[in-house]
Amino acid sequence: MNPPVEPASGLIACPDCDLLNREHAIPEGDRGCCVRCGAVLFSNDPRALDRALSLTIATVFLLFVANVFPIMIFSYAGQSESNTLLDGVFWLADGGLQLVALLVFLTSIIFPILRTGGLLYVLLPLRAGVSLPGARTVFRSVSSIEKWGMLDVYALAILVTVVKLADLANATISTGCFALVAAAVLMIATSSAIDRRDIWRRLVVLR
Amino acid sequence: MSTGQTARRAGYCSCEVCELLVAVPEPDLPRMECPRCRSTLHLRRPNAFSRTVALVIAGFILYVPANLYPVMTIELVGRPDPNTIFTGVKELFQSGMWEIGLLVFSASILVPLLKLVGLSYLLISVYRARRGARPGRKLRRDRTRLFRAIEFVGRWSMLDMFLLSMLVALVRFGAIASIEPGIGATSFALVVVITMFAAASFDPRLIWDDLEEV
Repeated sequence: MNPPVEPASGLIACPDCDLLNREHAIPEGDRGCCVRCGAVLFSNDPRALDRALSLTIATVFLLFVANVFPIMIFSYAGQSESNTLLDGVFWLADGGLQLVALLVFLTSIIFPILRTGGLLYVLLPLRAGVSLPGARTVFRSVSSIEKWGMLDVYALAILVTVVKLADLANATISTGCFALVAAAVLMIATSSAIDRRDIWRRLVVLR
Repeated sequence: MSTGQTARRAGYCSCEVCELLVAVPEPDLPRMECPRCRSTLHLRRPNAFSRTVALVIAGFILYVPANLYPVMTIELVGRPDPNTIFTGVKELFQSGMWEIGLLVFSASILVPLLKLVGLSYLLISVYRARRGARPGRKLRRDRTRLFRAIEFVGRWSMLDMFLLSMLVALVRFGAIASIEPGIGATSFALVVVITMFAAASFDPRLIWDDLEEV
């Protein structure tokens, strides 16, 4: 096993073009970019962890509401029917589209929950100055499933449905939908708030 | 500030997950683990070029049935109406909802195609650079940007699948008599997944690797 280079040495390899950049002092709120290809390499935000954590906690509650309460209420010919996130998955599978159902299930329910739960497991203890067992594995997995959580895309799909069905049936959005849209926005905000370099540094120090 | 050389040339490997710089004694070690996050270290993503080629070809092949075959056949009181992705978009335009139609058209038809074409362009340009073509810095920068855009935009193609999952709700209360799933839907889902994997298997560092001086 090779000795790891101290992160303090201040060298950063650009993930997009492999150029070795030197980390330098930047003003608060600024970002350091690769001099050759322009990729964002590091940032200076002392409150990044606080922000990411508070956004994550809020997302936990919103995800709960989004998954339990109906997303939409359809009324047609005097009767009304509501659907939750999970209903859509079951109805797709019922209709013979198992692969699509699985994909929708994973991207709209499982991955957002895993990601948010995983972040909470890593960030909350980190804020308190400790690190729980397996925190590195959890954070690694969270980073890799990030782009597979697609609540934001789902939120757009709801918008399209409401407009499209306006004349065919009376579709109104419901409690779950508001929570879902809010959760989607917060998850995007969380992604941009997270300072991955800082979190990995902390995870090592606490080991 | 730059050090004036690439990590590989300087004898370092950067962990793709946690960005730790690890000194590599030899350029081609069989299997190394990142000491910080325990993920496997690669100087470049393994077989990036050929994997991406294979996935892009698969994506192009599946793009055809995804657009030609109906995603679903909706039966409105005895009148079966096979819906491809394109007819769905057309209906939106005809009923005056061109904003929504444009949105669905971009996400479902344009984005997957641009992703496949964009990745093909990147693959061809990497291949040509290996054969001695010398693209300028600005061009390489633009290509790297193109790759970032492809990575970013890919997930939005799932829009149509989510639309489907809400449309099936209509059957439940009789606004639509029945919905027959078509092979278009499964092909389309596969296009989305495969193009996302294709973007993830490509390594943007290949765009820069043939550059001698930094």
